[in-house]
Amino acid sequence: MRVRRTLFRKYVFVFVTVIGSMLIVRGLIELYISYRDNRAAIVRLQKEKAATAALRIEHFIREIQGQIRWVSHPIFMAQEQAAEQRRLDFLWLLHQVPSVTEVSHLDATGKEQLRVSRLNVDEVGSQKDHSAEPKFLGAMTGNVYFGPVYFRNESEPYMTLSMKWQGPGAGVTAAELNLKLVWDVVSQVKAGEKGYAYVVDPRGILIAHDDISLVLQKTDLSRLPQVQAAISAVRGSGAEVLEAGIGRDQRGESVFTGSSSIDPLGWSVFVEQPASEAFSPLYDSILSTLALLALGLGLAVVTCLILARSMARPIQALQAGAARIGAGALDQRIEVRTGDELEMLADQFNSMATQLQASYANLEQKVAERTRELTQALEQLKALGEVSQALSSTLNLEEVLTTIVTRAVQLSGTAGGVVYEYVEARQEFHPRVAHQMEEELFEAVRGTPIRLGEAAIGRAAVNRAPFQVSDILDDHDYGATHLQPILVRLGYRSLLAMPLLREERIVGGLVVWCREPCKFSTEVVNLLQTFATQSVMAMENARLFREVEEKGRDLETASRHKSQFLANMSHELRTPLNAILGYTELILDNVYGDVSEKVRDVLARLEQSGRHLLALINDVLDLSKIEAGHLTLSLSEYSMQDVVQTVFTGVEALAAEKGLVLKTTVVPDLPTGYGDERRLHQVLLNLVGNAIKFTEAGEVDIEAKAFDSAFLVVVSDTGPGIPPPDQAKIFEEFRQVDSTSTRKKGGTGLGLSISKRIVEMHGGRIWVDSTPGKGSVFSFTIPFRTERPRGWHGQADSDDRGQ
Amino acid sequence: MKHREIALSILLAFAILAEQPATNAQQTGKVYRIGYLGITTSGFETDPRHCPIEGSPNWQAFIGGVRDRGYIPGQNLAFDCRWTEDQDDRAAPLAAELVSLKPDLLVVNGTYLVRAAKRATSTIPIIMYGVIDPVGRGLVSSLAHPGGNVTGLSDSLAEMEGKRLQFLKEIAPNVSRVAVFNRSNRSEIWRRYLDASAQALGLTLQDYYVKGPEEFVNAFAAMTRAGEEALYVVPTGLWEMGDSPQRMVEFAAQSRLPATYQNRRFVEAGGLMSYCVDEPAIRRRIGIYVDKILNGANPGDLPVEQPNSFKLIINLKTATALGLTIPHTLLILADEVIQ
Repeated sequence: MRVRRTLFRKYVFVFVTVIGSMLIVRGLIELYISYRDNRAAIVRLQKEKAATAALRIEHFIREIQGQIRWVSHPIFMAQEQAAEQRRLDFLWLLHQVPSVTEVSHLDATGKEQLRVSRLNVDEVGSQKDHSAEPKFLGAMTGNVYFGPVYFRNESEPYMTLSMKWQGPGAGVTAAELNLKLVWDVVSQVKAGEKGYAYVVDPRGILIAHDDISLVLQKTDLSRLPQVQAAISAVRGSGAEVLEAGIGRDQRGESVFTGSSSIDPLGWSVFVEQPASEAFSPLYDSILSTLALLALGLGLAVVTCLILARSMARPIQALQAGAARIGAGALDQRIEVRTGDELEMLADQFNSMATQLQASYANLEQKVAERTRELTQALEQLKALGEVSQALSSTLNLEEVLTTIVTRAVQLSGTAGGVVYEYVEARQEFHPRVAHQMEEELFEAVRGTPIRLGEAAIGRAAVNRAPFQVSDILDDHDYGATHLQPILVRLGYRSLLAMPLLREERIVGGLVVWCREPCKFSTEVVNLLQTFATQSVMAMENARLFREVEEKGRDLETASRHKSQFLANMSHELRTPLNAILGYTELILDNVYGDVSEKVRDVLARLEQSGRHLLALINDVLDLSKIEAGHLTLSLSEYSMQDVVQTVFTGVEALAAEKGLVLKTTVVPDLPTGYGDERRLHQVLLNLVGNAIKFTEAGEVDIEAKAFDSAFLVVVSDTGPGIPPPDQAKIFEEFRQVDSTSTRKKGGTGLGLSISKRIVEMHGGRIWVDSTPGKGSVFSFTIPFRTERPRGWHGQADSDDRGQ
Repeated sequence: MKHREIALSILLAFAILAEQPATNAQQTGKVYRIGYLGITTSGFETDPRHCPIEGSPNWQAFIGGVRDRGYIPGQNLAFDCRWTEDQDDRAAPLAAELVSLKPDLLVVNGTYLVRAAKRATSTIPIIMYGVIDPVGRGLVSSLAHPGGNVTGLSDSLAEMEGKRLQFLKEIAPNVSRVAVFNRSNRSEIWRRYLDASAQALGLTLQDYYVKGPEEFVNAFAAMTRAGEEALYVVPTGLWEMGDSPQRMVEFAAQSRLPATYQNRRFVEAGGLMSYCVDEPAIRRRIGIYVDKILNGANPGDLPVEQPNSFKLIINLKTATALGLTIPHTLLILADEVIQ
């Protein structure tokens, strides 16, 4: 079973996930909104600041413009005075406007009439021709000309501002403005700690910056995206729109930028703040949100752990407890004190465990008991088996009875036992075998046998039932016997006697005794009853066997006598018979003189009778040999063809005499046979002889062929046939079909039975097919090779060595 | 139990994280060293490191500018000051001495000393000030990109020399001979402007070379003898030493020479006029360079700043004493008229 400990983790996971995801989602939404708002706010702010700054710069320039205008007015005086006045005006301008480094007056033709400078020496009436210069031309056309930013000494940004004025001495006032002073305006623009403002001209060149050194280096910012967007807006193409106010600074870092343009000049003012700084409040807020989130998560985790723990623990305790109980530790109790259904469940488990424990104990006890009983029963069965085995394996009554009494004593748990045989004639119990019986006691019961009705066994026998003596000392009746003192002295107190009965007849007894006053339980009594029955059986078997043995011996003797007798008798019978036949033949051969026809007839009949008698005697002898099992086959190789031929030759004359046609058909290429040729010849002769004898007219056929690795010989005649009921009987001894015809035909009636025996001894078969009136067909099969002749019962004789 | 420990450690982690990391605005206790090479303490008291405790207004402006950037002398900033006291041969050894103290940067006053500092080190950044025409004088390769290890602020523009002469002529229109009070006969770019201006104004210039204040007597005597009508004092730090300004002014007064000086101090002391840059403002801006360089900027990439504004200061009393009236043109332009 896989160990699963995931409940706690599941709870924790679920809780943490739920709470955590809620917290995170909320936090993220807040952050996003905050970010978005912040960004928008910052950009707005930048833009405002830029607009303000633009406005201030424009104002600054316009101020200067105004101041210049102030000095750009016709002076209604004489020329010299006018020039002087103008000079004073210009000096006043220089004083007022620190940005103006130089201011000059060009006349209407563009010739310089006056130049007042901070650095250079003032020049009056130099008449330098500036008519082709943009500061003159621009002013003349547009009234006010704002020149492009240029750098003096490669480092100082300057701008020309010129304006036209009308009136006498009209002309153009051109001033050179040092734009470094714009820095003052720009540097006051503060956008956060790291924020700054700067101004670029329409080319994107830096004119003013918080860090003036950048200006002095003529920095070109036209590559920055926000600058590009602004200057293209100024140019009017306005195609590029800056994305959400995010630009880049020179280092490539992101900045928030707002810009505004200063129209007449075409400058662009930028107010920027590094994105990192701009976002720092946002980052702070993110951090704090994250910190809070993390704290919240942490608390959630802790809470979840605690909660999950408190939820999972009782369940785990239940699981562990149930596992323990399930594993068999039934004395374990589950401790759950949650005061809810879980506690109830635990209590249920505990009560279940208690019950299980009790029932186990009970069960164990019962099992132990049963096991004991079973063991006992098994022992008994084993003993019985042993006894049965003994019974069936040995006919030695002593051995069997000893086994019985030994086992009986062992299994009944008694001290000893004895088996008695009952001698009916004397009505006495004689001990046959004993187990653990003292010599003294055995001698006592042998010397003075117990009589019927005496002692335990006597009474048991009388009652035809087991008899118990619980305590020898107690039972008065028992005290009367001569055995009691001995028993008491030997220490025995109680005994049980079983009568051995066969069909209500007493054949003996089985007695067992104990040292203590045993109460022989029903089981023991039954057990001993079984043993008693076994003993009876054993005795009976022994007796039967004895009888059978005797009878067998008698039979054997009888058979021996008979054979001996027959052998003797046949010899005795044959001798005079041979004499009769011999002499008869002699007489017929006229050895003793002529013999008259009448006498010849008589003598011929005499000879015939004699021969018949001789045949009968031979047959009887043969049959008795066969029956005694003394007929043996002498096996050798033979040719069936020859056998048939010999028989044919033998009966040829006889058939001719009766006018029967005799035919033989022998299949060519018959194999060589292996068997008793003489006996086979006898069989065939018997069959053919019978055929001829019983057929009045017609023919007799002899066929010999091979069939299924055996010779098949068929003798068929056209005789009267044999009715079916008789067909089996004819093979029995001394039988012919019809006793009347027997007498007519002669024959002993032995031939077919002998033939049958011989055929079967070869391992073949013989049968007859016949239809009354149509004739008979006698067939027999003889295996080609007869290796082991069979015994006279038809069983294979395994001991036969093939004589 | 395992879980309790996990819970506790989580809580602990938060406690630590929740504490915002303190933004470290201040540097971690590092003390920066600045070496200062100057001409004269002008009699102001100095501390064991030879730096003025209070110092002149210019010095205060300098220190003020440095403080504004967050560098507090005595806390995260230490000065080492050396003064040549107008002894040229002391420039090189003093420069070397300062360099050997391994300062983070040097602040050097005046072209001559800057040259000595440049010879003493080519790696330690040098912030120069009080120099005229640094490109022309070979201190930097260009104003926008100085290159090398020198940058700083230029004190004057060469053109100004011409302008000064014009003002002198304006205040004393009858003057035709002008004595040029010069420290050495080093001819430099500004001289061109001076000569051109003289020519344009129709003035004759005569040089008077003075090695030190001890030669004032002779110089002025010579001027008187030559009949010089005005005095043009070529600005140099030497005149600032000790009571030289006072003496100079006295001599000029004695000789009845309208004179133009290099800065306000002289005018305060009784000199007639001066057209000069706003020196304290310039010195204040040194702090910007100090901050940038200490934060890792390369001096060669910091452009040299030139003065934005120029101040015309006239001493009315002196003018009156000399019998001069200040013309309107000067009055209008003048930034200050001292009574």
